Parts: sequence; C-alpha cells; structure tokens
Amino acid sequence: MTSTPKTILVADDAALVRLFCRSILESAGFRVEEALNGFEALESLLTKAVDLLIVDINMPQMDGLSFLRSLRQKELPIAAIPALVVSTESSMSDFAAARAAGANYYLVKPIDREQLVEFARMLCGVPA
Amino acid sequence: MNEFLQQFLIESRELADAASSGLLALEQSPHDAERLAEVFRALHTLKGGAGVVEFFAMERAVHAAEEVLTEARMGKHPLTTERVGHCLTCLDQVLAWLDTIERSEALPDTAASEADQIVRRFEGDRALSAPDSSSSTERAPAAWVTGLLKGHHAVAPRALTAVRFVPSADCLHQGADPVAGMMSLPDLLALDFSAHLPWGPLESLDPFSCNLILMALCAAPVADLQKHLRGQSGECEVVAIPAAIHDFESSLPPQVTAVIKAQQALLGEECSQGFAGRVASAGLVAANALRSCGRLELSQRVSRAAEQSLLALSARPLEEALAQLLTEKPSLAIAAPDELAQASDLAARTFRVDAEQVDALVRLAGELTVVNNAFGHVVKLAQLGDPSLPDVLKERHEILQRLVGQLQRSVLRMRVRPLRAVLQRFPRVVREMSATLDKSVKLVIEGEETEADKAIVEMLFEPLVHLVRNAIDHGIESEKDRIAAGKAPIGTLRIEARRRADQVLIEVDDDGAGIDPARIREAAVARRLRTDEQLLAMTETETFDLIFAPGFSTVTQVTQVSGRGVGMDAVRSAVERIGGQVSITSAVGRGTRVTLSLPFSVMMTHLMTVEAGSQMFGLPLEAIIETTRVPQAAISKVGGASVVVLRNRTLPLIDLAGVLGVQAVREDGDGATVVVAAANGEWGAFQVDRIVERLDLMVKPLEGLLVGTPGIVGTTLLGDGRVLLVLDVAEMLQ
Repeated sequence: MTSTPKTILVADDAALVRLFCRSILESAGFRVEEALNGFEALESLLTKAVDLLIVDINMPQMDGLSFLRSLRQKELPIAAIPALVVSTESSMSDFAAARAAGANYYLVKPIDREQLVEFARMLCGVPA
Repeated sequence: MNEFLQQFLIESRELADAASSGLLALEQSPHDAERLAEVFRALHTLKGGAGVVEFFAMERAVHAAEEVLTEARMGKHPLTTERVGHCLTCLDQVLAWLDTIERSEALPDTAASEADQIVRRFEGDRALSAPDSSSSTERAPAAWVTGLLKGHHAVAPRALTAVRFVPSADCLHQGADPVAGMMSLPDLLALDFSAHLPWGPLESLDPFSCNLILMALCAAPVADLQKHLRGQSGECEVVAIPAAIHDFESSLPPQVTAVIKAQQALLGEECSQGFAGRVASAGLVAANALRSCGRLELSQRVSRAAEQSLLALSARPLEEALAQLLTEKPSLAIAAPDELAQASDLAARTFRVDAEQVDALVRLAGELTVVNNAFGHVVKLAQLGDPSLPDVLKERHEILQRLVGQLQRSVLRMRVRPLRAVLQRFPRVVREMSATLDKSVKLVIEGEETEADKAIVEMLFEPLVHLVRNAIDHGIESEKDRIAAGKAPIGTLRIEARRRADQVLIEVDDDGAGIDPARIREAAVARRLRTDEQLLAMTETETFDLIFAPGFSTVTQVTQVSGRGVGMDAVRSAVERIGGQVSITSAVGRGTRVTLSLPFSVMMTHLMTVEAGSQMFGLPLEAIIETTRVPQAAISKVGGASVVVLRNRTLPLIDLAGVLGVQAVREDGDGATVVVAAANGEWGAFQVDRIVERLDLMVKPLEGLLVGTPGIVGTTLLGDGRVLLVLDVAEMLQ
C-alpha cells in the first residue's frame, strides 16, 4: 500500500484475540489500535482517526452492542465509522442484535486469517 | 413595490433560472439524483413563494412541474425529454409572469387560463405515457473484446478502448515494429499476442513474416488510439468499450455483494436513534467495498446516495442505490454514461489544481512577504529622510512588480480548464436538434482535452449552440437532398478544438450545402446593410463576414430551432466580449466552417462605469478611491482650473465631459458627482454626470489607428454590444 495505512481499532477484552488481530492486520498493511472494552474504544475514537472498528460482543463494562449503539449516536464522521462485529456466537439472533445495534458486518470466531483481512480491506475500501 | 414582492421577484427569478439549467442538465443525465433533488427543491421553493404572495395560478403551475420531479425522484416515471420540455415551458411562463408582476404588481388576467393550460399539458402527458422503457440499446460487443476483458479482468474496469491489430505479414520487411507500436499505446492496460494463422512446422517458418494478432486494452479514448495507430500497416480495429460491458462481464464479487446486502439489512432496521450514524456507515461501507474491488464509479454513486440520504433524513436514496447495485445489471449499464458526465460536472464545480502550482504560489507568497517586510525598512528610511529612499523604493517596486506579475500568471494558469466541460454537452444538443429538424447528423468532437481559461470555457456554450444550430438547420441538407447531391445520407458535424500559440481555436464544421456568396450579397442589399457598389468591392472573406452583421439572415423561413437569424451577430459579440474573433468560410455544396479564435487566458478588470455627456466610460476600479457628491460651495476656481475641497484635501476637479470633448448633460450650480481617483500618487476628482455600475470585463488594448490615443487604456464590449472606452486615470491626472 502506497497510501497512508488505514487504522483499525480492535475492541476485545481477550488479549490473545487482540494480539492475533494485530499480527494479521499489521502484516496486511493496516495500523492497529486496541481497546479493552466499549468505554475505551469510545474514548480512543475521540483522539484517533479510525477507519474500521473490529468489535467483540462480550466485553466487560461496556459490551459491543451498547458500544455500537452509542457510537451511531455520536457526531458524524465518528458515527459513520464502519464496524465489524466478531463473536463466538453464530446464531441468527446474535447477528440480528448486532445489526440492530448498528454493525456493518458480522464474522464468527474462530477468525479465519484471510477472511479477516479480506473483510477489513472491503470495509476500509482498500484494494485487494 | 413592497419589499416582500421585490424579494419574491428576485428569489423567484433565481429559482426559475436554477431549475431551468438543472432541468437541461437532467436531460443529459436523467439519473442524476442529486440534480433531481436540486431542481425539485428549486421548484418547491418557487411554488412556496408564489403561495405566500398569493399568486395562486403560478403556484398551481409550478406545483404541476414539481409533481413531475417528484415522480422522477420516486422512480415512478422517468424524466423524459418531453417532460423536461413541459417543465421548461412552465418555467418560461413563470418568468413571463414575473415580468408582468414587476410591472403591475399582479399576475395578468390571463394567468389562470395559462396555468390551466400548463397543468393540462402535464396531465395529458401523464395519462398518455406509461413508464417507457429506456431507449438506449446496447450493441453486443465483439467476441474478441469480451474475451480480452475476461482475460484481464483486473484492469478491465478501467479499460475504455480495445484494440485489435493484425499487422500485415510483410510489415517487418517495411521496418515496422508492430509490437513496439502496441507497447507504446497511450494508457496501455494489457496486451495479448496470438497467432494470426496456425503456425506451420518449425522448419518452414519464415522468421521475417509477421503472423500475429495483437490485442490491447487501453484507458485512453478511441480517438487518441486511432491517432496513435495511424500509418500502421495491417488491419486495425479500435473499439470503444461500452460502459455496460463491465457490468455484463464482471459482476460484483460475492463477498462484496454480501457486504452490500448486510448494509441493506442495516438500513432496514427500525431504529429511533443513531440514524445518521447508521446511514453514513452503511453508505461508507458499501462504497468502500465497491472501491476495494476497483468499482470506483459505483462507489462514488453510493457515496452520493448516502449524502442524499443524510440530507433528506431518509434512508431511501441509499437503499435505492444499493438495490440498484444488486438487481439486474443492464440498469447499471444505462446509468453508467451519466456518471462520466456527472464526474465532469463535479470537476466543473470544484477546481483541481496541480500541487506544483500550489507550491509555486506558496513560494510567491513567501517572496511577497519578504518584500512586504522590507517596506518596514523603507518606512524607517522615509522617516529619517534618508537620501537613498528613492533608489530603495525604486528597487523594491521593481521586485514587487515582478512578483505581482508572476502571481497573476500563476493564478491565471490555475484557472485553466479542459473544454470537455462544454463540448460534452453537444452530443445531446445535436441529437435533439437533428430530431426536431428531421436531419440525420453525425457529430464528431475532437480536442475535448484542449484547455482554456475558465471564463472562456464557461461562456462558450451559447455561441457554440448557435453555430451548431445553424449548421444543422441551414447547413446540413435533408437526407433526400443529400442523396440527390451524391453525398453520404448522413451529414457530419465536427467540432474541433485545439491550441495554437496563445490562442484556442474552435472550429464548427459541417459538410452541408454551404453558403452561396451571391445570396449573402442579395440579402445584404435587401436588408440595406450594404449597397451594390460596396459589395462589388468586397473580398469573399468580407462578404462572408456580413453574416455576422446584426439582423442578417439569408433564410427567409423562420424555423423553430434557428429562429430569425439573430444568432450569428450574437455569436460574434459573445466571442468579441472575451477578446476573441470569429470567421467563416464556406463552399457551396461542400459545407461551412466557422472558426472561433479565442484568447487562452482572460484578464478580468474591475471597472466602474460612469456617464459623461450621455456617453459611458469605464474607470478601472483599482484607481478609484471614492465616489461622492460635493456641494457647489466646495468647488472653487484656481486660475483656469477648478478644484474641489474634500476631506481637507484640495483636489483638481476634472470635468470628464469637458476633457473628452463631449457635451455634459447636467445642470451647473448644483454641486457635482465626483469620482475620486488616484494613480502614481496623483489624486484627482473626476466630475461625471452619473455613476452607473460596477462590472468585471476584459479590457482589450487599443488596436490599429487608435493605438496611442491619450487617456484611453483600452476598450471593452458591454453586454449590449456597445463599446466602452476605458480611461487611463494615470494619464488623465497628469
């Protein structure tokens, strides 16, 4: 990528998942920021330009869904930041709940390396 | 007239104009949702205004037009040419009413029936026409084109043109290198080789015989490639790739489709909060997904739809755009050409400037700052009465002059734009005119990329429309006549633009009947423009020049399109107003060519026009300090001259009419209207009869016999064709 790298904020309480995402995404040319929960994520959005959010549903303090709900009510352009939800649940109801909260897409854990990069690129508008 | 009504008139005229030009643009790109919304808003506001001031007939008529736009926006009924026509008629009527209102503060008595007529026209249209299927038919592209696109699907979306070249077998003997020729095609995206005839056994191969088929995809337009390939020996096919083909051949990758569907679902969620965030993010994600697979046009379209959704506070425009992406491809295919137009429309509104030019400006600004700082030093010298002051000042002034000159040039350079912005509107214009006039015309446009100053590009449309109209109406013959004359049944109209030195040449060329100089002479005599003797003495060029004389027309029959021959003198005055020239040549039976030579750049001067002795003069605004009226008491005679005391300053009073030798039309003894001006440190008050207005015009230096006329900097043409003399304030103050 010759243009400035896109920044992805990974919000997940599990350090392993964050590390995993970071290593995959960084090797695909993205910059990666991390947050441990929804509050942290919201906070870091105020100070950092983020192109994509990768959000876990189950997080302490503020979970992924409440995070998304409050994200979408913020001012533009922050409210418009694409959000990809990752969760261990694969039930339709979970999917629907994520969508209702304002998620743009939904991936099921365990995360497939290539799939993650592919969707990250699509949601950020980076050519494959 | 009350303030309310005045406001209404101003606003309504603006809205009607905006709606008209929007409608015209929509004729070219009926799917331009943004513009649809724009026109709709204009009409809506127009209607609202009419309601407020209780002009109900007008309200009714505009409402009918607004309905048409609403239907187009909802996708219920496309905005056909006919419907646009009705809307335009309605707006014309509105403008006519506004004129009446300005005079009499009321709608004319006939307004109600006129409004009825308009409404009926819209209704008739609605009753008659079921939503029509689009008229555009896509020809299936040749198999080799589709094959080529498939083979290079990664670059295919960018390809505009496909080339298939079969070099002649002996081309290598002629010293040609077909492969190198193809490799150097402009904007080459992909190149394929294959054998023309099956290869024979190795031992019988002639290594100097060329047996290749070369196929290439390029991002350059057909004309460029044709130019490039001219002179190659062999069979060559250059095919424009219809925008549609991309959609037929390479539909969206499944993941992208999945992402887009997810955005549709997101939009479909019932939610009371975070609307903007949802819509904006859905739009962003869909646009990003399209961008990631290289579908930039579609991506832009989605972004625009999202913006509309945000503005309209309705998810609908975005939902529709997404639905369109996922439904049948042909609908995309039809919309595709609009995008090009739209993209260049956008380019017309926003300005692309080379980063280098900006850097140059920044450097200049830096240098100017240095010079400016140096003036602090100069001021100090002046306070100290330093004897070196004049030299220092002179030196600074020279530097400043150089920098300002550079600044002017850089800024002018930035205003340069391609003529495409105007020329691309002509296919539509020609199509319509030829349909109205029942002529078959093929339009060829060349040199769209030629550049000229923004002001020129913007003014060019109207004169060109006149020329094109004349060529189609009076130049190109009917199909029957053409066949009888042994010509190709379809006439060719060519608009070519090119740059020559510091001029831009635009030629409008038709292969029609041409103009008979004898008929020009007859007409000139009949209209008493010239006497027989005068005509005899004229050269052919001068004779043709008569066409541009006001009120000249050789066609007695008034046609719907061309009107009464007011066109050509309008062309001339429009072109001359920006310092250009127009000339015409014609050969009977072979066609007519009109050439516009326009300056490449235009320097606008801010002028104030004043009247003295019932004549108008221009004063450069930069020289003017103030305009005011002085009482008679402030004017006194000193020796032979008058002076006026203004703000404790005694200024020479220069009677403009007197100096210029025209009779002043004003009553003396009642004070004076003066324009206080300064140049080169000299101040003076010009006494004028009246101050007229401020204008931005291009001032042409004096030419020919007038060169060196004292007190005059140059001339410029006013909107009504009158010549305005622009005064040289510096010289007059001396």
